[in-house]
Amino acid sequence: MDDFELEIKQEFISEASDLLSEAEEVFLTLENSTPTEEMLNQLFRVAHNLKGTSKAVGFDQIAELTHHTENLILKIQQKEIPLTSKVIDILFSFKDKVEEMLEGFKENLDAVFDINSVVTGLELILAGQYDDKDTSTAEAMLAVEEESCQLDEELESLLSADFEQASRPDTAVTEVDQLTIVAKEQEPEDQQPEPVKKETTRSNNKVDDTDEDIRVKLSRINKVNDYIGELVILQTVLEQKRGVEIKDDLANSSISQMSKIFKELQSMAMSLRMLPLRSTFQRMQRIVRDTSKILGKDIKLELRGEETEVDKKVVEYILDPLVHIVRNGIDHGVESPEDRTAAGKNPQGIIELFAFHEGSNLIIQITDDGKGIDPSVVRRKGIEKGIISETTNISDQEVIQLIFHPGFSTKETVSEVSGRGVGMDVVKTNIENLGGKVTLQSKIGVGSSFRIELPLTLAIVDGLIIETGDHKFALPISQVNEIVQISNENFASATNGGLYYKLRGNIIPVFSLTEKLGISKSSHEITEGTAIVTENKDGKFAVLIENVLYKQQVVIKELGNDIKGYNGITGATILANGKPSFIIDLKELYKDFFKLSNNTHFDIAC
Amino acid sequence: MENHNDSKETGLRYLEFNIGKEKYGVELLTVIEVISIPETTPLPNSPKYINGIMNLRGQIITVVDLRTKLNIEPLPEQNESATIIVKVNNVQVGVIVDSINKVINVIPSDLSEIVSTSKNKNSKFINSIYKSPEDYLVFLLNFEKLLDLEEIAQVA
Repeated sequence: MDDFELEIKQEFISEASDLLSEAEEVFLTLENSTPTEEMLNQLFRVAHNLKGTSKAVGFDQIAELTHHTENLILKIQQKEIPLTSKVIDILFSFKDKVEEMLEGFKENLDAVFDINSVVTGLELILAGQYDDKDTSTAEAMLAVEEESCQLDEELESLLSADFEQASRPDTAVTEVDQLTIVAKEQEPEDQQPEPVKKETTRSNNKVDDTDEDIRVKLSRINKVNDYIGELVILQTVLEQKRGVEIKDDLANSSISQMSKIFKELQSMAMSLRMLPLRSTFQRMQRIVRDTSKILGKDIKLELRGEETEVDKKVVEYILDPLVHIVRNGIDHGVESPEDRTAAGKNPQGIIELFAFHEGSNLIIQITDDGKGIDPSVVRRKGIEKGIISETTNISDQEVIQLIFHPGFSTKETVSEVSGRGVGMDVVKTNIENLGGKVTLQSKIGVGSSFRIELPLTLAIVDGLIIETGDHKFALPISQVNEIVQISNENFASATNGGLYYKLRGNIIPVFSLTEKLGISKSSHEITEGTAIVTENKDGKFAVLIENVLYKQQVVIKELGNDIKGYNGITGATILANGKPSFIIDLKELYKDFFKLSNNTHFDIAC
Repeated sequence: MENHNDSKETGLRYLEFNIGKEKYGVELLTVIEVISIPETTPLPNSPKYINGIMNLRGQIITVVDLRTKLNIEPLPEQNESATIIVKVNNVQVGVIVDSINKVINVIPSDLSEIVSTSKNKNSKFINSIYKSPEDYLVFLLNFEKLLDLEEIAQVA
């Protein structure tokens, strides 16, 4: 495969993903309201576009699948097929299939997929079997598959007819032409001729969106950010000389003008990496829809603050934790309609996703109006699992946070939806890896609310600049629990047995950063110094350093693959003096480095 | 490379530089710029030839001392030493050398092969030997092998 082909195929994959999420959004609206002409036209355009481009770049299977879907949409447009839930389900399974294929193509561009079940489903519906007879989703899909066996013959003829058509290029072309004509005919009915532009921008904000979008490689944006960051450093130098060594008025006023522009430029450049949470939230719609169907619950998802913008990387990483929490809320939180009615609640439960900015943080709140979490159950479970002891004195709110502890699951039965023993602790770890935190509030009978706090961008972190053995390092402040002074009274060492520090009655191990990094060898002489207290999955520990210098927002620079991840180094940054410095992840550095011999008590510090 | 062997008159252009008293060359196409010796921040626990990281106009770049890497005694007077910024294996790396000489036009017919024995440890980093019109020899380096920094993590 030559470069050009590779490029257009990759281009297609990312374009197709956009088209699919656009389609899914419409599918979801179809389900809850009567479709407007415009929505169906939009769907048709999406399908038509997808079919055309996939065929053009040689993904014939996608083209085939989309071809059937396009026919179905056409029939819906012409009111020949009503929008039964069976029809909507097949539209969703079409979307899932194509998504699966796109994922597959990312791995291997020549991958071949089994599209028969979806094609069969589409064929059946096109052949007139669109009524909801006995339909819960899963059964319907099963039924489709069973029927498909019985109707083999009929299908075979249908399918082969279609294959023939598809395999003869000339007929395929005329068919496409016809469809285009149909699409064009539809438009005047709309009473408002649509500008061509709409098709190309593919935007949902039709009202005031005159901006056009372009695709830009992230690496380019990062480069712009690099240069601007460097300009800002140079600017500070000039700023310091302004009015002192530089006496010229014009020069001085230019410098102060420049400062203002740089500030604007810097925030503009940062915003280039920002994306709205809309598409992430939209995916939750789907998850709520599917999961609540499986569990026989009636749940409405309310979204607020979908426009909230956040760094692209954060958007990517937040998806999994969100899915987990939302699923969990559906499974464990919201009660069944019967239970809700019995409790005097509206049979339809509500889960709300609410995103907003707070300072330099993104907050996402996931709130359900379910049965809440009973602290006494959690406490009992915590004692059972040995996470806390009978005598541990912690408040109910603190007890509830125990659900984030590894290996904690209160649900008695392991369900398909959530509760496989792993769960909330993974959510917590993922969010902490992003430099954020998650907390839970809950009230019995009223509901639970998760609050996720994340930095707006992963490109900047609050850093603690420290010095040890003549080296300066930056530590992410989110990892620093506290800074302590080590002295003879609270510190002891055993020859070849390690160093220990008394932290409010708990004994924690102390490691020397210089020794670990191989900067200096001797650590026996230590009698006093500064230590950073932090923790990883094995417990709390202290890291001995020489000095804490200052706190600074540091811009994280990617390192080449060569030294990335090596020695707990997650990146580098440029200090105020222009010198580069490594950012050290203490959790990573001391990962698997030590094991506490006895279980320490769970300490609420999360 | 093979393509260029066909064209007899137009050769490949190389940047010629000194390490100690020896002359080496790197393909000019991989060279991005030449700067003076930068201030570097050392990488803990790394092999000696990794000088550290530097700030090149906002970009963080790993700097390798080629003199240590090739085990060559550096020249005593170092005021001429320079850093060549190259892009190899899709990563920008700074390479410290003793001095930059000039750009040379290498004609394939003036190339000879390097002899590799178990003793010639550096021979695997050398593609070929070029005999200049002035009759001195330039060793043309294979920077891809020389700067295979994936190796660093394993070595360290």
